[in-house]
Amino acid sequence: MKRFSRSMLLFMLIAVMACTAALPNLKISAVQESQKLVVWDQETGPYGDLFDTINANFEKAHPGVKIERSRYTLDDLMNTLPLAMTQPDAPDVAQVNQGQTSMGRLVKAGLLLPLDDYAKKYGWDKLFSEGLLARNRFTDQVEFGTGHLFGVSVSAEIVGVYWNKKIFKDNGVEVPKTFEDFESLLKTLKDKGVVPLAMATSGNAIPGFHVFSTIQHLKVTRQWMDDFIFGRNNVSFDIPENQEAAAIAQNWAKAGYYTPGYEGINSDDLPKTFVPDKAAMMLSGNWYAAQVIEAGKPGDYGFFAVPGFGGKPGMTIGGPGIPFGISKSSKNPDLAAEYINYLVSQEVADQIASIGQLPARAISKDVKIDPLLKDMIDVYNDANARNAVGHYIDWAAPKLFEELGAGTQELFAQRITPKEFTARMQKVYADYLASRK
Amino acid sequence: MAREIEQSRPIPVAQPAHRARGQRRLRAGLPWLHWSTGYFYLLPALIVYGVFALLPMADTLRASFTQWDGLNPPVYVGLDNYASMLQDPAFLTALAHNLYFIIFSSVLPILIALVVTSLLTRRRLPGMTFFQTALFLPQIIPITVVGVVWTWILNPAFGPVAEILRAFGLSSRPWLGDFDLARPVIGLIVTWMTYGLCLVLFLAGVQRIDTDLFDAAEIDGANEFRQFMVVTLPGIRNELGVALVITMIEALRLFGLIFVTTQGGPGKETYVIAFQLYQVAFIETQVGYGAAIAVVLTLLIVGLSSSVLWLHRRVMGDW
Amino acid sequence: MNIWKPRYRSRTILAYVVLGLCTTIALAPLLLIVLTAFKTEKELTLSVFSLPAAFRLDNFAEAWERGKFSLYFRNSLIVVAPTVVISVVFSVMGGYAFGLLKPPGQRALFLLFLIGVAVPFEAAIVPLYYRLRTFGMINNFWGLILPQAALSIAFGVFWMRAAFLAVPPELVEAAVIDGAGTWTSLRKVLVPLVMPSVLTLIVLLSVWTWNEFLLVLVLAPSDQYRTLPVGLAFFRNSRTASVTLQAAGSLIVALPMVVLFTIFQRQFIRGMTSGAVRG
Repeated sequence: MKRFSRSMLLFMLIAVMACTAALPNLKISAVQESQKLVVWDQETGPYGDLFDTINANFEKAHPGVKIERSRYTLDDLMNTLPLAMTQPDAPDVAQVNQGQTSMGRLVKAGLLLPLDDYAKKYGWDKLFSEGLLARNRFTDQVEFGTGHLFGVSVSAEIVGVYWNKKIFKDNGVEVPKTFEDFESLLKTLKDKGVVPLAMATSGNAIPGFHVFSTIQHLKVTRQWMDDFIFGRNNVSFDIPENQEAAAIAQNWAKAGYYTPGYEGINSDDLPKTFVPDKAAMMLSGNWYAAQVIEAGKPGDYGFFAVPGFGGKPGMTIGGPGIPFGISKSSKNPDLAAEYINYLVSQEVADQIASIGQLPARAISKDVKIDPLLKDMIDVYNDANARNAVGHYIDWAAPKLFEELGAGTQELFAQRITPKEFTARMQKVYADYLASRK
Repeated sequence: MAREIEQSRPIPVAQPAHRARGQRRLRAGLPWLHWSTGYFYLLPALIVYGVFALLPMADTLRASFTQWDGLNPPVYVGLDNYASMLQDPAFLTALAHNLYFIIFSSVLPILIALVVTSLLTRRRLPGMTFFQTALFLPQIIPITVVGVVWTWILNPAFGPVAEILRAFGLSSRPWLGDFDLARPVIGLIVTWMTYGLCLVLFLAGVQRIDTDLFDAAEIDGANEFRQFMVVTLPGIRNELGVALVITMIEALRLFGLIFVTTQGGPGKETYVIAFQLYQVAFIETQVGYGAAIAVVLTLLIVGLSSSVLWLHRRVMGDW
Repeated sequence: MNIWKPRYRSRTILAYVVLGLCTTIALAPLLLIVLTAFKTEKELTLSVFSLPAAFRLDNFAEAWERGKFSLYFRNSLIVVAPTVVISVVFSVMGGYAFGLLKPPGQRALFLLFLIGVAVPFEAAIVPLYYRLRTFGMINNFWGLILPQAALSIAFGVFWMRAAFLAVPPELVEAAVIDGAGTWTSLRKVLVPLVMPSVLTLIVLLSVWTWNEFLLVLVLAPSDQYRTLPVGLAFFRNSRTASVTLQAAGSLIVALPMVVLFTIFQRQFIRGMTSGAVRG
């Protein structure tokens, strides 16, 4: 019997393990208080930590209210939210990734509360340009980009040009006011032996197609951009504006305006091709602000948006941060809306700016922040005010990210023509739209 | 291994003088035990393996015949995925690249290892263990470390290679971004990863060869090279076979290195099947097509390994 | 042959030179990284090949804290230890069953396990991901342990079966004659006999699991559950990643297994090569 008892023990051990393995991560829900808000978010780093302060302040301003916060990362949140929203202990407020696959799915399943009334009540539709709000909209037929509002973004992203003030001064150049000036600035710097634009395209090639997309944003219309991203009106990518943009980006490669050897430097290493003093400018998003600031003293670096052709302002790549939405089954929707409104308040926006993040709404004039950040916020606010915040074009189709990367590498290497580039992207886009029918 | 199965002899019968409790006559497999005992010992392994490996494999096969985005119910499409694969330029390019990398993972390293082994024919060099350990290290290092390290080494701006070239007055090239050089360079990194493994295998095999064979050959007037061909090579035929299969599979399954360095680029120069699998199944969420790619990759690996082993047996068997 | 006799001496010297060259090429990248990990950014800009002024541990500390390598290290331990324990125990049991106990139908069952050895796990990863997601086991340690255990077991059973088959029958007999049950004879007699194989298996599985990339990338995309190899892959993009930090991080990822391997090197190589012959 001895040998069997050991085997039995082992057997039971396995059975127990199998059971615990099969159980999903359970959340034990406390007693539902009438004044409790369950919030799920995915913010990380100092910005994520800031939310503890924000939440505490909200509780102070609303005595009797308790915020129960759960922190996730984006993937984690996106994987667990659909299931969690159908459970009794679903969060009241949660960050929901934009787009068809995440927010669209939840809207389709009727899990998110439309926020239109709250938007009117609190004036959210005045705070943000329609271009920004559109990204959080879905119709009843789950069409993206229009219809009811399902989320409100608290932070934002913007893509522009970091510039090294010392290098500019040493070479007697200034921030350009027109695109033509920008191009001649590149040439001037190159002639003086300075690396005009930091670049690194091995790997995912993001810095490369940001250059293309930035130029593209200065040429296409708002309507086209929205139609392309939201997949409506069957617009084509293969249009002259895009071809011209591709041609310009390609010519810059040929003219040697990019970091020498950029094709062999991994995209993730982009900042290393800019700081310290490695290049005059770097075209990228506000996410590198901290790294750039750390590399110098306050005031060493600035940020400007690439100016439009003939000085006419155009769109800038950017977008709202991951928005906050309210679950349809929330027992405290009004409180939840109150909370979201607090998140986009002036006070919170100022706090967000002070830790180096870009808030989605304008900040007060007297907040103390690094000059680089101030520049970024100015660029963003300007774009927001003109409804000129553009898109990350790879959002339009899942395969686009990879294809844009590979295509950019080939474009810069002069192996394909601008027309071939746009045609290829168009094919990917068209295939995707067709598969959605 | 086939040899193993044939040679597992039945345990001879024992006839003890005393028949104490628990003692019985022994036959092959100790059958006086209730047959379930064997299964008891197998069960834990079978459960874990079955649920987390076998079942998913069966699922992959099933999924490969559907079109599925991982969320909505799958749609049965028969052999469509496989048909598309044959016409998919991305897949065909990836396939060609994997086969190309076999040269760098198998052919080159084995040749290098053979050459080095020939120099060590019959020699028991002191310090061999140190060499073997050091040579094997590239296999122990996690693949992402290999990728990160080599990306830095080959960095045209501030990497070691660039620095050396500058010291000689030569200009550095953007190795991993050059459309003509990226693939061979990745290939060489793969060679760097596997040649130590081959060498270690061959060296161990060489130690096992009976020195009498060498003496006999020497008496027959064979020089060192001839000794290598006639004694060493046949002597390490098993290791050769193992090296061939292992390195070939490494080339076919290549993923981590590509992910961390070139992401299939520049353009599609270093695109490989496993990378496409990842993109298709998880980024583009075309699970059915991804499953089909997985099936084809599996068939490729099993098919090529078997063929190589068969060929190897044919060639080396008559050596 | 006496390798130092004049007739063979030149070839011997050549052999050492060649071996030395091969070894240097194998080790050079790793040595460079070790060197870089101890430097400051400034020292690095001077030259890649310079020696650091002092062997400071600053980079390691920073990678550990700000770079979150302490988290990834913890995750790697949490995943690797149970995986190896479960795999080895179940493999020993399974190998015992196939090698010695031989229950009816064992040939067919063994073929089933062979599939796991021959077929790459890429064949299973796709549905595994979606299955685990339904059970909420994505970004979950058991979701990382059990699949890796499953694959390790396939190889482990094959490995231990061969080891048990190699035990001289007299010893097996002896264990049984003494009146021992299967468990006792396994524990007291047979396992000690196959211990070298078990040790090699432990080292092999530890290294493979520690180094696993694709599986963790897919099944645990969240940063909280990343193991070291995946953590390193994404570290480059983080705001704190300088080259010296990357080097320090790389070492943190690679060193544990290098140390493990060095300690068991003789075992390992012997085990690898003898097992290979059988395979």
